[in-house]
Parts: sequence; structure tokens; C-alpha cells
Amino acid sequence: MEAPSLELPSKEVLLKLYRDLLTARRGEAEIFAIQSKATGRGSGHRGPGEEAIPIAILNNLTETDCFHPNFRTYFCHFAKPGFTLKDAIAQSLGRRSEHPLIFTPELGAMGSSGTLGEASVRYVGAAVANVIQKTGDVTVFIQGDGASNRAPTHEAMVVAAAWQLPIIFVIQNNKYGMGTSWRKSYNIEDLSVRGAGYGMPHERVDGNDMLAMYLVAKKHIDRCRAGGGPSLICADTWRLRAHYEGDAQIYRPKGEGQDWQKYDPLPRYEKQLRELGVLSQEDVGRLEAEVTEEINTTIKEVESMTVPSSFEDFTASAIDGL
Amino acid sequence: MAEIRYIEALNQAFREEMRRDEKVVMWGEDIISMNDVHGQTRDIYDEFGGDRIKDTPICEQAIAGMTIGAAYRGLRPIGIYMNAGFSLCAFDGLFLKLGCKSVGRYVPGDIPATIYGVIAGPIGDGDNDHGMSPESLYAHAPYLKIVMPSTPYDVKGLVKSAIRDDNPVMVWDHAWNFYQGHKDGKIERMANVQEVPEEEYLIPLGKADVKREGTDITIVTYSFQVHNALAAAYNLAEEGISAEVVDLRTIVPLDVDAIVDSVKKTGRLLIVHEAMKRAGFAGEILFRISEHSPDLIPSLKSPFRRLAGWNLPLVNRPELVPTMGTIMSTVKEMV
Repeated sequence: MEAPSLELPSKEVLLKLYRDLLTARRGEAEIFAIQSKATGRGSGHRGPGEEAIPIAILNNLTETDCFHPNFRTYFCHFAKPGFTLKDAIAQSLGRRSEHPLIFTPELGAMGSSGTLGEASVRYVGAAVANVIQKTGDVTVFIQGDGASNRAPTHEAMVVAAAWQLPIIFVIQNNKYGMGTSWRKSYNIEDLSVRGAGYGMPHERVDGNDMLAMYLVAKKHIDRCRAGGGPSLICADTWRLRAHYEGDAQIYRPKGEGQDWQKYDPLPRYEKQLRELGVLSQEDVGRLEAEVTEEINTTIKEVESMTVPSSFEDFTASAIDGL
Repeated sequence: MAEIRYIEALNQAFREEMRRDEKVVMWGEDIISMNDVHGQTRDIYDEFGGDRIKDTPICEQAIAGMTIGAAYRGLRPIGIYMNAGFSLCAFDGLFLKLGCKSVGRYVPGDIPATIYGVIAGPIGDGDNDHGMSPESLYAHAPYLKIVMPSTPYDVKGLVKSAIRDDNPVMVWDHAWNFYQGHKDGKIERMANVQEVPEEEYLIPLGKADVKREGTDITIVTYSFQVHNALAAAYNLAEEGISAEVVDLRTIVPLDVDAIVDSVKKTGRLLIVHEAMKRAGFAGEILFRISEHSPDLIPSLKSPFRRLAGWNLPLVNRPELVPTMGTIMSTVKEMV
């Protein structure tokens, strides 16, 4: 691949990325606080520190493009054109908004899979349908490094490369698959080189560097949209929190990865923007207030929505008897 | 009306539906390069081109996933497995995902996907992977309709209905249907031919068909075993036993009404399937009869029986599955 264009995005784009990153960080934390208050325990898979990867990608997509988030950062999906913060919060709080985040095929969301990586072949099917129907849409499929080891991912990449489909695979490499570290799971450091085995362009990027992530995502998505076929991006990041909240992390050496705190994409990107002169201290305070207000208002709105389908609706869906 | 072979009727079903709706597409292993081995997909590439029919790499999980994903994005795809056993490579996609519309939203509807695959039976490659019958495994999943045809007329009407259905449908076809069938009390090569209308017809999913009427015993079966049952019934008639053969055609939905009507009339029940006996579909059929008409089973003139494949891997030994001979001897023990 060529080096990313050094041309900076417009000030408007730079600030949108910052606002989305801030919204993802604050929104996810707020949602988790509500969930743990409701259940008395936390069980969510949280992804602070990894949000720059989906946010950078989503800001390069259109309403009808297809996109699969890593489950740890699914909340960031609000940044996809067509979806809203309300959709993300409704999804998190068990309400049904007009466009359910997890399943709205017309906005390119076609569900995920509890068996990780399995959804990759489904998104390849979406890419095939997009080609046959000449929609011009691209598909971006994000998964973790753990899921990337699974067989369906391999088949997805084989077919995507053989048929030169408009799909980009992204490995959000946070170095852990649940409690199993990268040391036990693969014998390479740069997972992007797997792309070579399929005959796909591939690139490794610092997934905690919002600007680099945006430029790499843009390059690959533009290339794919122009008919360049599939590619693989490995975005390195670090799982700052446990696999699930409350997980004692007995598998992790104490203090491991503490230095990653300093690569946290939010303060890091903020510093970059201030150095570039597009963000002032006042802007930061104003945006914090705006985002907090928007999250709180949306949460109130969502909490007043009724829980969508009844148990009776669900049981009525059975075919040939219950 | 022309008499045509089973494989020709199936091929007509595919081609007619592809002509009728440009959203119908298909993919699988060697479905262009080898016409899906038996000729099911013959001439489809020439008529419709490479956007509508695709040879996949040997990637069974991808065949399932792509069929689901493409159905979500507006197509009406048919995912083809060269052998039904190969679909088990994709069991996750087919059992847990197809029909369930993703984690978190288990609502059926608007998933116009068809899965088609071939059961080779206890011959051919002589191994379990090619030969096995998977229907009981998939019948255990929510939202999957399962079609198991036996005759040219049925396969055409059923496959057309499967493709048009807005919910996922599996068609598990038996390779023996392609090459042999019942004729005058024997299983003969090239005998599975029938007059099939040239004008359009559909067979609704969930309607059994009484393939032969009788008064002494009901043989409930499906797929190629229908031919064995018909051959057995033909010969039993010469010995004074009148057997009725009920071809289920689809096991999900199950036409319990038709089974109950027949068993009420004959007072005896034999269930026959090729899939292994343990946890096989015969047990489900029996319970469904009992739940539908609790008094029927206790009133039978002789205890109900089942004939099914042995609980062994399906190797190249035809006696591992029911035959005309074992059906006849079992019926004679019951009547």
C-alpha cells in the first residue's frame, strides 16, 4: 500500500472525530453505570481506549455501506450515518428504536455472532449482494484478534479475495481474547501480514492514533469503493479494562499494560488537535458540556420508551408448534 | 405432458424461479464446473451468467454465511451443499443463525434463503460425510422448514415453494431419487420418472401426500424411503395386506393431520426413515401424533414400530438402512 496521504482532513472532520470519540467514551461509561445500578453487578464488555478504530472507520462510510463492529466497541456504531446516539443507547438499555443498532440491514447492520468471527461470512454475503445489485456500497468487518483466529474468518477472506469483493477486514488487536493473551494465540506480532496469504493488500496501523487511523481507513475505503477489492487492516490497541466488568483478571500480570494509558486515544487526539490549533481549552470544556447534555437527554428519552416486544410476540413467532 | 426424470424436474424448478425473479441467485461447490455433480444445475450458467450462479471455493461456512447475508441485503439466494453432511461444517451458521436474525433479535421473517444439499445414502463414496441424513439435527433448530422430496412432480413444486418462501427453507434431497425409483414392486434404475406439467404449479410446504391408499397399516415416510415403501406395499398387496404410504414431503412443518387421518383409518403405524434410529425423526412423529390425538396410540391394533438407519456410521453397506425387504417383513410382523 502507498503511505497514507499526509493531507489533513478538514477542520470540520477533525472536530467531528473528536466529538464522536468523546461521545463514545462518555456515553459507554454512562450506560455501564446505569446497567450496573440496575443489575447490582457489571457484566458488560467495555472498550474504552479502543474507540478510535471504529470511529475513524465509521466517519468514512455512507448510510447504505455495511459495517460490523467489534462487540467491545459496539456503542461507537452511533457514528455510522443513518444511526444516532439514541439507537446506541436504546440498544444498550433494551429498548427498540426505529433503527436497531444490531439489525438494520438497510443501514448495513446485519447482526453479530456470539460465536466470534462467524458473522464474517455473513458480511461477505452482503458484499456479494452489493456487487450483484450494483449498489456501490462497501462493507467493513471489524473483529478482535481472538476472533480473527477462527475458521469462518479464514473462509471469509478466501472468498473475498477470490471474488475480489468490496470488503475490508479490520482486526482490532487489543492483545487479549477473553483471558488468553496474544502470547498463546499466534506466533506473529503483526497480524496484518496474514492478508498476504490471501492476496490482499494489508496494513498495520496504530489504532490509538485517531488521525493515523482515519487516514488509513479513508485510503482503504476509497480504494475499495473505487473497485480495488478487499484488504486487511490490523489496528493495534490495548484492552484497558477486563474482558467483562467484574472479571478479576487472574490471567493478567499485575500492572501489565499500564503504560498504554498514555496512548489513550482521547487525550492523545485532544493534544494533537490543540497542537494543530483546531481545538482550544475552551472548546474542550464546551464540547464536554454539550456531549454530556446530549447523552443525558437521550438517556431520559430512551428510558421513557417501552420495551419493544412482549414474550407473547416472541412465542408467536415459532413455526410448527411451540 | 412429458415424462421427465427427477433431476430434470429439479433443474426446471431452479431455472423457472431464476427466470421469474432476478433476485434468485445460487452458489456452491462445483455447481457450474460439474453441474453440482448430478446435473441439478445444468445450463444455469449458460442461461443466467456468472452474477446469478457462482462456484465457491471449498468453504462450507462461507456458503451458509453468504446465503444469510445476501438474503438480508435483498437477494433470494440458494446456498448449495454438494453433500448434506458437508453442511455440518457450517452448523453454527445454519443451526444458530439462519432464521434467528442475529444475536439479540430472534424474529423470523424476511429471510428468503434456501439451503439445498444432497444425501448420498449408503453408496457412492461410502462414507458418513457424504451419505448421512441431517434432517433431525436441523429439525431441532427454530425457524427452519425442511423439505425431503421423493418424486419428480413433488420436487419441482416443493423446490419452487421453498425458493419463494420468505423464511429459510432447507431442501435435503436424496441422490437415489435421481437414479432409481419404484416400479411394479421393484426398485429400478431410471424408474423415478413422471409426467410433470409444463404450466406453473406450486406444492405448499407442510402438506403430506398419500402416495398409495391402504386399509391395514400406515407407513409414514419421506425422501427416497417412499420408493422402498411403495415397492413393499405393492408386493404386500399380492399377499393380501393393504398398506397405505404417507409421504410427508416436509418434516417441518409436519402434516400431523394427514398422519392421524391415515392411522385412524388403518389402526397400525410404521415409521420409516433412512437417518439413524437413535434420536431420529420417528420419535418426534410419534409424539406429535400423541399430542394431537391422545387416544389414538393406545387404540392401535398392534404396537407402533419404526425402521431406521442403524446407529452406526453410514458406510457402503445398503443393509444399514431400511429396504423394501425389511419394510415388508416388519409389516408382516405387525399385521
